[in-house]
Formats: sequence, structure tokens, C-alpha cells
Amino acid sequence: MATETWLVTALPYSASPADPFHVSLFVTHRLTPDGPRGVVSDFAVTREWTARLRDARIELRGGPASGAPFDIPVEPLFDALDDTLWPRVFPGRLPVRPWKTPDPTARPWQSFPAHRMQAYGMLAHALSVASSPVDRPRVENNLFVNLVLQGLGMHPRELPLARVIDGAQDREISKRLDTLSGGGRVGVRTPVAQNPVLAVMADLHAARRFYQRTEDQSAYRDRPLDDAPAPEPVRKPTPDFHERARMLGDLSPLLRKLGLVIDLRVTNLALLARAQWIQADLVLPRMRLTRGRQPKTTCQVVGHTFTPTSASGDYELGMLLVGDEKRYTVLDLDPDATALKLEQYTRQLPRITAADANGDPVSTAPATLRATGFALARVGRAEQLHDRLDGAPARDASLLAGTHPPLVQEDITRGVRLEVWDDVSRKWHSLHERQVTVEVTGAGKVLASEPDSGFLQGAALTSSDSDPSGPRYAHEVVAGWDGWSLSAPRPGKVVVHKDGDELVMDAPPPDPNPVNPVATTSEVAPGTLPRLRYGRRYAMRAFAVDLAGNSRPHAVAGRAAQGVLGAGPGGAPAAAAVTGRGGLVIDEETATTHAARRHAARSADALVVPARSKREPALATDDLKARLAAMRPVRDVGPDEKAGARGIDPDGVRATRVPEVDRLVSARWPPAP
Amino acid sequence: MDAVQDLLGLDTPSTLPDVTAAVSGILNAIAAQVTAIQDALRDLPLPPQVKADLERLSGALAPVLQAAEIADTIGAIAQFVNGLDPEGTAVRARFEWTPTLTNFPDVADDDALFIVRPDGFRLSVEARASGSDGVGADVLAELREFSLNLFPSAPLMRLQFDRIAFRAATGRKPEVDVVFRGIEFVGVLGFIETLKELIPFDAFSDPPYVDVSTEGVTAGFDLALPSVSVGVFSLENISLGADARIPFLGNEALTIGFNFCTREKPFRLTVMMIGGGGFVGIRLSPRGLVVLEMALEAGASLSIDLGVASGSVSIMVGIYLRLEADAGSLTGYFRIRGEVDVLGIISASITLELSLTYEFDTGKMVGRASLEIEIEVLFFSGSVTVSCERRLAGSNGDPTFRAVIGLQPNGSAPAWSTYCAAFAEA
Repeated sequence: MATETWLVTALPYSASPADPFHVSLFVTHRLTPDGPRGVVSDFAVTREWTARLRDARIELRGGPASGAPFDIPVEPLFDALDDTLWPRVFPGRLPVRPWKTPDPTARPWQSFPAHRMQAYGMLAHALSVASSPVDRPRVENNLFVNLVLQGLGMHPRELPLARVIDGAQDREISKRLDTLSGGGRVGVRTPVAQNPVLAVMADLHAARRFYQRTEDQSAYRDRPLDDAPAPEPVRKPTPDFHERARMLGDLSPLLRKLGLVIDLRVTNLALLARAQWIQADLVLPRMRLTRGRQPKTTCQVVGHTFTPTSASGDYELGMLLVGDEKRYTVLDLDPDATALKLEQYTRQLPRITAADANGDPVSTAPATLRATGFALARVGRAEQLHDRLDGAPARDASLLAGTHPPLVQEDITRGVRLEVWDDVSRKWHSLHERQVTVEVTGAGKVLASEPDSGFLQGAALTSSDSDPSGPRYAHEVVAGWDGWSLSAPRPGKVVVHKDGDELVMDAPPPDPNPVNPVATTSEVAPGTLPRLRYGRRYAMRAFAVDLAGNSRPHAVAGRAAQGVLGAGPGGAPAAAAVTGRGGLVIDEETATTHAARRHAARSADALVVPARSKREPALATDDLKARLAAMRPVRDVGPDEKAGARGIDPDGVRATRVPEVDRLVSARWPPAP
Repeated sequence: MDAVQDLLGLDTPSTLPDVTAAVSGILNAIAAQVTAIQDALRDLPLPPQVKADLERLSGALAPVLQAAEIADTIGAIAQFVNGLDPEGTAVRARFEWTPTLTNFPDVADDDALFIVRPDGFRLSVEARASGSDGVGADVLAELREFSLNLFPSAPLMRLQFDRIAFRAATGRKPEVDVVFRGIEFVGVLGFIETLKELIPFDAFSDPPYVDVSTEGVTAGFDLALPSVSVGVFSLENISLGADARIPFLGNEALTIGFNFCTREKPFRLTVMMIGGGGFVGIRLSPRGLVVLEMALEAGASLSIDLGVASGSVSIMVGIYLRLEADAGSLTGYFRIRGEVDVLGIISASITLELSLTYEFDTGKMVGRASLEIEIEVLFFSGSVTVSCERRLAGSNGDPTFRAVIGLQPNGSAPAWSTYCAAFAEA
């Protein structure tokens, strides 16, 4: 007999009486058909989910870390439900395959330290410029080149052309760097590079291995075939119920209409403030329920903020701790371009040196640096994610059994909302404000230019499309901004590749056999984006986005001017929009105490010496950074000790009005030495 | 001259047959004496020491007493003597060397790195000494009709030369003459085949600069080209350079270099306000490629293929090539940043970094991967896996900004207005 269960995850949102709701529930259906495949109509509750939900009773419990739990009275907000939509999106004939929790760590992972690439690129340039400020540097007067050659155990005068042309030397160096970098494999312990420059080259080599994927290489052919066979078409997914539900994850307004996200209004906020975890049960008529088996979520109330707690320390009151340089690095150079160009340059140096010794007119100037905007990198992101996803099937089983430890911020964070402070406009600008139109086959437009706050998905893994057993690749960059919205396409026609030509079309060609009846289009919300310009000063902050698409209520530029304040959940107006006060109110004494306590804990963390294999590259970077800092001119900008970035008036930064919380802003510039 | 005439017994200047006959007479007399010695060695019981000395003398004289060789020798001497200018007492000497060449390695043309014709090399040295004009020399080294195949196992480029010639003459500037017949980019370099249209193959004949040192001569040119800017399209910072170096010393190698812009000064290409650039540098010697480096970077707003075409996605591309042993090492990244909007499949804002690979069958750069998103919330949402591909067409069919922005006949462009209105004031 087909069985249907669901996980109900309670998600903290707000503790402010001014906000329209305080907790959201995210519902995950787990359908198990009789055989390998069933259809939605086999499942009595699921096939008419939205209608059945109206009769449901929702129970919310909370409790201290240890002690008796208590009920928290709630009022579910079912107004958003649209009964006609469910059968259109999940029709009765839609296939259902058993839920399967993937095991992401079953295959090896690869990554590279993208956060260090900017320092390396700057180092190569600084040393070259300092070595030869006017002319293009030659081998003998370029300090960086000599450091690289020393690191490789070579002497400039002992590099005849014949030796470098032979190729054996290239192979030898690659082999050595493979050993030192572990080929970029995550979790592989590597020997310690005695020479800092070798550590740099090992990191660059890992970047090369990250992008030069052997499993994607095709057989050599000197000329393309005139009648080359058509490439294998990209596989179009054939989603079942579970997969179709997943694909709607970016559309929180639609999730609310479908009853996959349910907002709850808490009538006794004082009770909520006592809770250190919350848990919800969905009680449906005629359905047996074992209470208390749904997952618990850790939470904390600070002033009017109500957020999950963070196990890793990466989050503080629902925001990423992007100002902590031990955890995050803001890059204003393209980390990928810098890595690959520097790898190309350093590996060519023995050959360039040999050509120089031959009397050829060559220079050792490094390649230009490429900057396309800003990027935010999490130090050691791949390792952190790998550790967190290790043993996923076992954790999933414990979650279903009700034995899983309470969920933390990291478990329920679907992505981030990135915001930029522009010191000319003197406002925080969201990069995600948009207007969404959703059309469902048979139901027409269910959302028409609806204001919405998109968000940037969390980590994505890539792997070879043709090798299902190949490694998974994880990048350190969490978010980047090149000057345009992160949640809406650029306006204009679409450039589509077809049979070797670029075709300009008004819109992508329609899919004759759509696999999903939900079609979404989004446009940027007017007047919301900051301008990316040289000469301006910027700061960045990032809010966590949970399963329901919520992030902590706060105000951003653009919509306030239009009277539609707030980056509220899924387009729902935030508290500020309702009250018109333009910001979140926190009890300053509580928040200050809390932030100070947290800060002390972070300082203690910083004293922990990491494992040797991880520490060594960090030492190399520190060493190189020190050399770089010694050579770079001191700039008169950088974050000051109050809030925001130096050059930005701290009083103008009013995310929360609490300096300790506003300090979660990351500055563009490194601290002045 | 008097001494020669005395030796030959000639009273007046004579013709070549007279001199040959006179010399033959002297040599015939010597030959008769040598024959007598040989007879004595054969017939008489001489002491061993004496016999050994006479045998050495006879053995040394016998080869030079052949009549034909004597005539050749006299001819050569006459050629030299004829170079003497009776008026200015000048001397001219000429030496020519044409060794037989073989491929390197010595295999069939298809498998060789350096392909030559057997008589393709000539070294000619002519020296002059004159009482009135002083001394002078004219040196010509020439390698004709040869090819470089880099590399035979997995070719990257093939170069055909009509000749490489170097001439140094007293009183004239050294001349380097390199005449290319053609260049062909193959394999992973196939997608920059059009670059060869920029190479001025005749620019090495009488090139703009020639530097001579005690170690060798270097000739070449550096050429800066004006920027091209039309509307929103601009190509700036374009430069071309090439050089050929011929060493005088044996422990250095002949090399030829070519560059289209340089590592530290790449060209800048801006299309639709998204910038890119790149450079190409090649240095080769008859032994093989010494340096090969190439970088191309670009950005665009394009659709990607996720089973069906997506809306516009902001992408950045970087392609980097260098030498690794005897093959090219091509590395490329393909970064998607922003919203991926695919009707019927997925709508997500993502940051994705894919690898770019060269597809040998089609000669295209392709970014293709399987993506797993929502991996961080897989217990509640399950991860979503989709396949993604983008092919880069190369230079054919690049759309213009005008086409993409949808310029109306009245000069307005709603998409451009939407773009501008997206930004906050200030």
C-alpha cells in the first residue's frame, strides 16, 4: 500500500508583534508508492493537499535546552492557499518514485582555495613592479621569477632550451605539484611544502586540476570533422512528484499558494521568547499522528529578532559573518581568471627563462589582472560542506525517526540574499528585488508581476555529464556581483546557440514537451540596484534565506521609496512596510549583550590551531601576504572599529541600529596595516 | 710570381696548359725517382730502419703524383691566382658548404618535427683583400623550403617556410630574410585559425629593426594598431610583434617569435559593454616549441541549454593555453552568475563554475556539466540535478548590441530603458 508521510520543519522568522507572522512551516512530502513507480492519485492526502490543509490543526511546541516543553499558541495563515492550483501543478497522473536521499560524499570532491588567489595575483604583480618599475622585467631582475625558480630548484643559468623543450621537466613539475596539492581533492592530506612559493604553486595547480577535468576531455583530432556527429543532446529531466516540488524552491510565493509553506502567527510572543527550540505538528483529520517526531529547530530571540542558532558560527542573528576574515574573503579580482593566468605564467617561467638565456627578446611581466566585480568566498567551503553532508543517508534516517539533534541554521538555509552598501547613495541595496510572473498550464497567470525577493542558491556541485562516477567539484565562492541583479535576467533579447550560430530571439523557443507546468519569468524591480562604478566605495552583507524563502526582516533601498518597504518573505511585506518605520527594532541592551558574548566566543575559536595540513597553506599565504603588505602602499581606507567600511559614515549604516550587529558588514578593503 | 716562374723554368707569363705541362714535367721526374725507390724497396735487402723510412717517403709522395689530381690542383691554384687583381693587387676567396640534411628525427615527413629537403642548406663565405679597397667579407647562410610540425604526436601548429636567410656583408647592415609560406593552427589551437590572417608573413624581409651583437642577430618588428570603436563595440590595445634570432655561437638556438598583444598588455574587446581581452605568444626553434601561451577572456549575456534554452544568463569565460611537455595544456572556466530561468524546468539564482573543454570533433569550446543544486538542504528539498551546456560558436554570427537590445525604428529601445530604470538614484 502506498504510504505518505511528511516532514514539517519549523522555521523561526520574527519576534516582533508588528510582523504579520512569526514562524513558517516547510512541508516535505515523502511518498512511497507500492512499486518502483506510482502516481499522485494513489496518495489520498497528497492528491488534494491544499484542500485537506484547510482542515488541519497546527501545533507548535517550544522548550528550553533542557526542561519541559510547552505549547505555543499559533494562528495559521491559510489565506494564501489556492485550491485550484495543486491539481494543476501536481496532477493525479504525475509519476511518483520513492524518495531517495542522495549520498553526495560517496564520490571524491575537488576544490581549490579561491580565497587566496587575489593575494597571489597581487603578490606577483607587486614583486614584478617593484623589481622593474619602468621597463618590462627580465628574468634576472624579477624577484617573483627568481622565487619561483628557486622554489622549483632551478637556476636561471642552468636552463638550456633543449632541456625545457624536452618536456620531461614539465611532467616532473606537474607530478610534484600533484603530490603537494593532492590534485585538489578534498580531504586528502598533503605533504608540507617547505617553500612558500611551492605552496602557492600547489594551490594554483589545484585550480588547474579543478578546471582541466580529465573526464571531460575528448580524443585528439588535428582538424574538426566536416561532418561531425551532432553532439549528444542535453538530457532533459523527467521529474516526478518529489523533483517537481524541489524545482519550485525558488518561488516562495507559489510554495505558499500550494501549502508547502505555511506561515504561523504566534499570539503569545513572550512564550516564544523563552523557547530555545521549536517543533511543529500538522494534524490532519482521519490521519494518525505520533506527536513530537517532527524535527526540532534551535532558535533564539534577541530583541525582536527570532533566528535559528548557528553550529559553525558562520551566522549571527540570521546574517552571514562576512566581516570575519578568518571565515570569509571579499575578492575584487576574478579568482578564476587570476588562478588560471597565474598558473599559466608560473609554469611557463622555466621556458621563458631558457628563451631569455638564449638571447631572445622575452619579458617576465605577469599577465594583467581581471576584475569583473566583487565575489565573496568562504574559506575552506568545500571541506566544510563535505563534512556536513558526510553520511547523509544515515542522518536522513534519524530525521525520519525523530532522533536527529535539533536543526541549526546551516541545516535549513537554502541560500543567501546579498546586499550592497553604496557610499554615494548611502543606502543598502538588495541585489534580489524583482517582479515575478508565474504561469501554470491550465490555470493561467497565478502571479502577475508580483513583487518578490529572490535569493542566491547555496552551494552547487558540478560534475561531468558523461561520467557518473567522476568527482564532484565545489567552489569556494558563495556569491558574486558583476553589476546586475542576481535574481533577474538582463533585459533584451535572448542569444541562443543553435547549430554553431548565435541566434537572437525575443524569447527562448518554447518547449514542445514541457516537463513542468509551471513557467516563471522575472524582471528586476525598478530603482533597486546599486551602480557598480570605479571610484565608489562599497560594503556587503548577506542574509541567510531559509527553506520558506524567509530572511530576517530588514529594510533595503528602492522599495522604501515606493512605499513597499522590506525584503519580506516571498514578497510578503516586511514589518517595516506595515508600520512604515523603515527598519527593525531590537532591544539594544539585549542585543549588545548577546553580540558581545558571541564576539568573545569567536575570539576563542580563533585561537584553535587547525590541523597541520590545513594550517600550512595558511602560513604560506600569511607569509606572502606579509611580503605583499610590505610592498604595497598603505591606503587610507578600510574598515574602522565602529561599523561599516572606512569612508562610509558609520552613522549612515542602519541595518539594525545596533552597532555590534551592524558590524556584520564586510568592507571592500583589507584593514590598513 | 718570379719564384714560381723560376721553379717552372718559364721565362714569360704563360697560359694554363703551359703551366700544367711544366708542373707535370717536374712531377714526372719526381715520380720516376719514387718508382726507383719502390723498386729498390722490393728488390734489395735493406736494413729494416732504412726500409721503413723509404716506405714512408714513397707512401707520402705517391698520392700527389696522380696526373688527374695534379691537373685539378693546378686548376684550383689558377682560379685563386686569377682572383689576383694585377692592377690593385686584390685577393678574393670563396667557400661554399652544402651538407646533406635529414629530417629531425630522421623519419618520414609525417612523423618528423623538422622537415627539410636534402640540399636545403647553403653556407657561403667570400673574403676579399685589396690594396686599394681594404678587406671585406660576405657571409650568406640560407635554409630553404623546410617545415616545422609542432608536435608530430598531437600537432598544435604547422609552419612552412620558403627560406630563412642571413647575410652579413662588409659595409652593409646585416640582413635577415624570413619568408613564411604558411601557418596552420590545428588541434586545440584550431579555434584561433583566423588569427593567422593578422600575421604579416612578409614582414621579416627587411624588418624594421635589426640588432646585432657579438652573440647573434635579432630582427623583428613591433606594431601598434589603432583602436577600433564603433558604437558599443570597441577593440583597443592591439599590437603585433615578431622576431627572428640567429645566433653566431653554437650553443644557442635559432628562434622565431610571434605575438598578438602580450601578457602584460592584452587587447581589450568590449562588446555590449562587457569587457574581455587576451593575447597570444609563440616562440619556436627547430628543436620544438619553446613558449606557447594564449589567453582569451570574455563576458556576455547568453542563454544556456538545460534541455531547453534558458533566458539570458550572465556568463564569464576564460580560456588559457600553455605548453605542458610536448602538448598543449588548455584550461578554461565558464562561470554563470545570476538567475537561470528555464521554462518548465527550473528557476534559480545561482553561482556556478564549470570547466570549458575543447571538442575536437567540432572544433568548439564547450562548457557542459551536471549540476546539483539545493544540496545543502537535501533532507528537506532533495537535491536537484540538471544538465547544462553552452557551446561557444567562435566568431561566426556574434550578435550586435543593436540586435540584442531590440532598437526600434524611432531610435527607442524599451529593453534599454528597463535596464537604466533598474538602478537606484545616485
